[in-house]
Amino acid sequence: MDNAIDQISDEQIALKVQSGNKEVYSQIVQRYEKRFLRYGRKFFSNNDDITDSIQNIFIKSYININSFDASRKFSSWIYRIAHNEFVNYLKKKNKRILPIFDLDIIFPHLAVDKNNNIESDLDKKYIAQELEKFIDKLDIKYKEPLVLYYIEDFDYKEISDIMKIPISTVGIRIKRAKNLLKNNIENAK
Amino acid sequence: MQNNSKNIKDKISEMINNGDINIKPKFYYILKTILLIIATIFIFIFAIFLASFVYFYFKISLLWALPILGFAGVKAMILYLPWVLILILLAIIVILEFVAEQFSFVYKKPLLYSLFAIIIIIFITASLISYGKMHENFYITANNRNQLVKYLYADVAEPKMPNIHNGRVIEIIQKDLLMENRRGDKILVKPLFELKRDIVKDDFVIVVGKRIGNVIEALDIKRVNQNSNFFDKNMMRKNIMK
Repeated sequence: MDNAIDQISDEQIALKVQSGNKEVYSQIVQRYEKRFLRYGRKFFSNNDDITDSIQNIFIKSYININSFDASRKFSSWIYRIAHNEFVNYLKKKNKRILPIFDLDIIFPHLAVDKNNNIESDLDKKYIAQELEKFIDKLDIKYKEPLVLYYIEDFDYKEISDIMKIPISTVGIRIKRAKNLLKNNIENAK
Repeated sequence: MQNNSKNIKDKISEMINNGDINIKPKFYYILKTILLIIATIFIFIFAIFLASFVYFYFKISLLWALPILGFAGVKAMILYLPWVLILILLAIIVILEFVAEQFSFVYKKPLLYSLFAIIIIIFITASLISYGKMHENFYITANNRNQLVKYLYADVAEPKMPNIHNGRVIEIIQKDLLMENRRGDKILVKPLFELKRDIVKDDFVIVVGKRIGNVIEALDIKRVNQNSNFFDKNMMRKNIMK
């Protein structure tokens, strides 16, 4: 039984939970817990904060499992819940949160960086490694899309769904974040 | 971390098995989506109504024509703009943008695009509505309608410009004009200057000056190129309740 469950996709597990098979939900917890621990560490340094938030994420995703559309990707859906949970937790703790209105959300084309040749210098793997070292030096606004793209392996469209921001804004923030990261790397040398 | 993992997994399983947490039914989300769509449509309709009402106010008060009075006219136009209605309309547009941001086809695009689309839709629809007779009919019969319509059309839409008047010339008496305003009042306009000969009977005019009773000592009189029927006999307020 366990082996069979291991073979099926997240979306199929979600469908099973939706149709009343509550037991298989623990498989979702097992699959995503480590990922959320890694994702949560980019928001908080305190382990208790991360554990509390993760528990809430799984409770909320279970309660709202019927709002998941199985024709879509489950990981984007549950990460949307995780994003909201972490942001709300930060709000409660009175820490700096993502701005609601930002020029790059209103009209991303105005905010496009002209110095945008960094992609050729750093490949995805290298950026992911360096990101772990310099993550705390980045503003949360830039940190999150960078983490979702390079560490959690989502594409721009999925990050747009998770953060509920325009796809072009995701691109702008990742480009800017890479420039900031490059500056930090150069300063550290 | 292994302990942590076991803890969370076990805690969640325990909550599920004990019935401490329960899945919300699909119907809840269907209802939520339907209500969101209905709310969006209603807010849209209200915004369109309000925008067309502002447009109607512009026409009925002849605000659009005030700049022909020169700098003072432009100043008066800005002063008498329906600012409260405009601010309410702007607030509704912001609310509409927030509601629309719930839909993925909206939030995936830059905010400026959706905001621009909302404004364009509201103003195009509102200007199309203004070609119809809805506001005119409400205006004419406002006194016989319910309190809200009466308030909107008999009070809010009634221009309140103490020293600026408008109406249709019904007679020219030597140097003076006899003008009939939208309420049906017949007012004698006495120009304090030499009246130009280009004003003739049935012209629509804007008159600047203080009204005392049914007489205005006019500081300025300007003919308005009025192609609508706002000064038509049919547009006179039917004060049946009076």
